[in-house]
Amino acid sequence: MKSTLLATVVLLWAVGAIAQAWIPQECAESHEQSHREFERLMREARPDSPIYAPKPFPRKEAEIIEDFRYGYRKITGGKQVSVDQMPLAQAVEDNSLAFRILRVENWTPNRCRPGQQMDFYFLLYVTDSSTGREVSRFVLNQSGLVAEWTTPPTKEQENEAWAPIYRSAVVPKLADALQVVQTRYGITGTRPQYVATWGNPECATVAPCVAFQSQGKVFLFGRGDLVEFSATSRSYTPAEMNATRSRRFEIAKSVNPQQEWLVAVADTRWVVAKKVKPRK
Amino acid sequence: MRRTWILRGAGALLLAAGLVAGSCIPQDHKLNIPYRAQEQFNYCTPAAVLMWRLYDGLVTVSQTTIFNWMGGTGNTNQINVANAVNYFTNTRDAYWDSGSPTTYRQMAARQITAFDRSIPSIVVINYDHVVIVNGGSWHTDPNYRVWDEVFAHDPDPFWGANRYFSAGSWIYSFCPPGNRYCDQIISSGATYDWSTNYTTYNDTKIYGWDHDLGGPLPY
Repeated sequence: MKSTLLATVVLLWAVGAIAQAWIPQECAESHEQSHREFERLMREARPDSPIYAPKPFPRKEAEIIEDFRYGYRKITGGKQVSVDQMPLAQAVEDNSLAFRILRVENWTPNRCRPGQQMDFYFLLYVTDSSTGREVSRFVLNQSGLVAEWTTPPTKEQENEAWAPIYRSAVVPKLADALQVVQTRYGITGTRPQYVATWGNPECATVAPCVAFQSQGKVFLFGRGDLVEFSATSRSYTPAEMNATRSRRFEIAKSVNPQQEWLVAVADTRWVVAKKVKPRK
Repeated sequence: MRRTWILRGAGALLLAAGLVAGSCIPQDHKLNIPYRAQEQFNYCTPAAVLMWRLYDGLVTVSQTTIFNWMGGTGNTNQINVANAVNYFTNTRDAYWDSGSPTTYRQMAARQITAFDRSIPSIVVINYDHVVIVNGGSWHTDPNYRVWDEVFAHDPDPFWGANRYFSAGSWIYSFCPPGNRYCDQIISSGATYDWSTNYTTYNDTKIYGWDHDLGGPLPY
């Protein structure tokens, strides 16, 4: 094992940026007490506990990396990992890791659950510094516990149709995204941040959208589209979405995919966001 | 196709034998389902059914064929999905397994039982998306199995063929507290004795949240 950990971290948020994180509408119900209780249990947890992370609720890059290394090894340790995971497992084992770490705001209804607080995630683009190749897109919960991850296409998968789509789904820097929007749509955005949420299509935690504000509207830029919504946009309550399955299907069918996205905003509403046409 | 079943059955027996023998080594079981990305934004279900079909050794059909067979709209209902599995794959006993956050453990136990027998399941996640479960891994702690991760093929190419959920995160994706419905399509034959796994399955031990208890588990 190499003695040094090569961790090149591009930390794309600062303390000020965290303070500016935003959501159009906060959760309907506060679970603050439950969140505090979970945090207390986590901070008191010992390594044999299922909710143990070496740096609970990490803030610094080194703490996030420590939780990633611990969490991944805890889940996969001692197992024969599958072929697609071998480069990741090897890089972890060799300490040949480089990271790009992003903070992704969580607008899914899971933001509003009791237990583990999930206002945001950490998305780690993990690269093997000895080869320069990406080995994983890895998501940690705000708590530092492992959420989910992907591995890139293997050599055998490299020629499959999905491989270039996956590889291209790397989020741009926030400033670059705003610049693209300005050029393509003529819209000047403020307060950009990465956002994951459910809907059709979804802003995935491993390929989040860039959310920003402009002229009283909220915009989401992702999957090659720009969509907008505001407080007056057509929307549905979670109660409606949950009332019956048939009602949920009706709502989903009422969305015109050529012109609209259905987007979850925490547990408060499912809003129909309209696609913005690029300027000619 | 019967041969495939027999081979799978043999694999499951070997796996079961290992477990019965009290093997304490971590287990990692992947089905190796062929992956296909969805070809249209609302083709996640046809892509999942197609993957199941290819796993069963049948020749490919277009995702549009499956899409049209299910009614030609996205957001199809779960009965149609189960029917499509029964029509387009070698599985004839797929059914819509409907649950809620109070029965998520039973649902997860049926998924695991299907894993053990190397039979896929299609699971609705994040309200209206589906993935096909490609396997999982677990360890013993000390006398029962604790699931560590779930492998899935996500038809959305942004996730791709190699999507992994920690066990806790999996529950939050397919059956979080507060959801009224949780849905999956599974084979009844592959899960007929799922209740044996129910008693040994405790996903929430991983990440300390139990829907049924309504709070964090004490440690």
